Amino acid sequence: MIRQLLIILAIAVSTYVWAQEDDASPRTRRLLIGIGSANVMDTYLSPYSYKYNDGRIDLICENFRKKGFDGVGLHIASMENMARNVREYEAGLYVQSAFHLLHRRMGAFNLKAGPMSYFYVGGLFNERNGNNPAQTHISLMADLSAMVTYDFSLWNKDFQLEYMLDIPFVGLAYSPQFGQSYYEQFMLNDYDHNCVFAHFVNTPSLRHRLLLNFPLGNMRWFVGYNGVMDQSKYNGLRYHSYSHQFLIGWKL
Amino acid sequence: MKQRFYLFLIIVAALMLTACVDEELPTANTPEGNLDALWQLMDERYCFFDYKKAELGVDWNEVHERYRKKLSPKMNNLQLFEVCCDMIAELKDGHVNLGASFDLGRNWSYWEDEPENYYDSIARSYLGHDYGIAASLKYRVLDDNIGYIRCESFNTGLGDGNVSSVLSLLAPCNGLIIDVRGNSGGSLTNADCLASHFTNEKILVGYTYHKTGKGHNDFSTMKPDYLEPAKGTRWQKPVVVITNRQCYSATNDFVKMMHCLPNVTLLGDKTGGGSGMPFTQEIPCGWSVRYSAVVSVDRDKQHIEFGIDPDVKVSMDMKDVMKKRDTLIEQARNLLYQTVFNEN
Repeated sequence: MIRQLLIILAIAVSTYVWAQEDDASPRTRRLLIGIGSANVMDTYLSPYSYKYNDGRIDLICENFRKKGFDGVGLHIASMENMARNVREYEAGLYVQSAFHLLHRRMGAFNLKAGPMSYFYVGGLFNERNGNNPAQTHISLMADLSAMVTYDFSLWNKDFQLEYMLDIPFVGLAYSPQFGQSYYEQFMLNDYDHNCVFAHFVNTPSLRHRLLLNFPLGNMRWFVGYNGVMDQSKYNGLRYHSYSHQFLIGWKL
Repeated sequence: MKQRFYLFLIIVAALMLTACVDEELPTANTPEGNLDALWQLMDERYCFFDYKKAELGVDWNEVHERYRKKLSPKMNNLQLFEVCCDMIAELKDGHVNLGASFDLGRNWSYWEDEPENYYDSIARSYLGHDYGIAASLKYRVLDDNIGYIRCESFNTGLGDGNVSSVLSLLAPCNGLIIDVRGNSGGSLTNADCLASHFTNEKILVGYTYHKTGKGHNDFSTMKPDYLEPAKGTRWQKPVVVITNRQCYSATNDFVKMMHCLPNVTLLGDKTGGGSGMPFTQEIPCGWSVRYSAVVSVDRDKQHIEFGIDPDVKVSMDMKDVMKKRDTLIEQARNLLYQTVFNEN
């Protein structure tokens, strides 16, 4: 486990260092706000999805470099069970740093791809449960990041269509065991495989985004779709957090 | 570079093949769907099946077949609730509940069918009117210089400061009675906090383990539980803990810990048990399901799910009741008096 931890840390840190060593090309910063649906299931809290009377808001800030980008995002979500008598709340924060090693230009298309470090910390709270009222999600992953942009002009103005894809590949995650209580973990110091080797098979997740970038007034605006499909299945526990969102943002 | 790109595409394809991580339990909000979901939920997560089979002869598969026959498509929620409650009551576990907006399904036979050995009005007469209150502890010095602490619940937050203050005030007493009758539990942290003021060294008090999978025998290794001495005031004189059948859950755990201490005598009736830490889940109709998920056993690795026997078995004497005397408190006082007398 220590060897795995060191490898994951090395990948994540090297991605971050690469990102910092990027050249000093003009940088683009943008702020995006996403509003959409929430569908969350964590079998530590309930065997069923909470996806009714739901809503999720994301706040994303990104800084693009020539060879990648850095981002930080925050989300909060609220949703009810199928009987609509219990509510769950989710909140999370991520920090990501992508280094796009691969860079191909094909006419108006521009493809960039490479590794990305992705750190996430979040929690899910069920307002009814007693000794298992909440679940913590912490992970440090090395992701695969890809981005395709298409530049075009319309009405003598520059437009850009952007598709971004992020797939968790390998990393470490925290998870309680199937029936393990937080009391055992933190009061009795009972470690039971709570640091999990996560990879794209037991963490089959995907985040993608389609954005249209256009000028309006004195600003550049972004509108589009954001899709989140975070999933995991380790220690006998199953988790998913899906969201489809309308995104709007502007260049800072 | 091309090869890397193709590798990337292969990984994406592999990812898509792994499919969604979705619900596994029945989702139909019908009598069958709800009963099956309840049965399966318990089947995968309840931690005492083997013990209950050995002690009570519960065959969970047979239980499912028997209760499924009681369902009918036209039954209403009240009727379904009754069938579901009867099914889980087979486990005779006070930590197993079905919660609906109109009722709480439970099996409290562990104390409802047993003598109470406690009369609130009589016990309160020992406290009188000028007793002290520190968080969940009510206390005073009895006439024969015996300290008396009444702990009705472990639900209220209890800190080392509270316990230290109480024990310091009772320090001149020759002995101490801790009366936990009727205390049906609460937070284990509070139970640990109280017990930690009665030991001078770290001692083994039991073991804890949890389920690691859906099989009835999928358990983690036993993790030893230690009681560590509190940093505040620690009691050094004889102690009697008075128990009855209503001592359940965290109180059962408190009694388990106190039972390991050399200066402590358990007096009264067997505790109610409830050694499984309960988790909560739900079934499609939205009813909550509470079940024992984490097992706690004593230091000899024996189950205490059905209670802990006292060192001195004492029942309430009706002659004493007529005189408004609490037999158990009086016996505890006698025991402490004899202990102190013998020591001197």
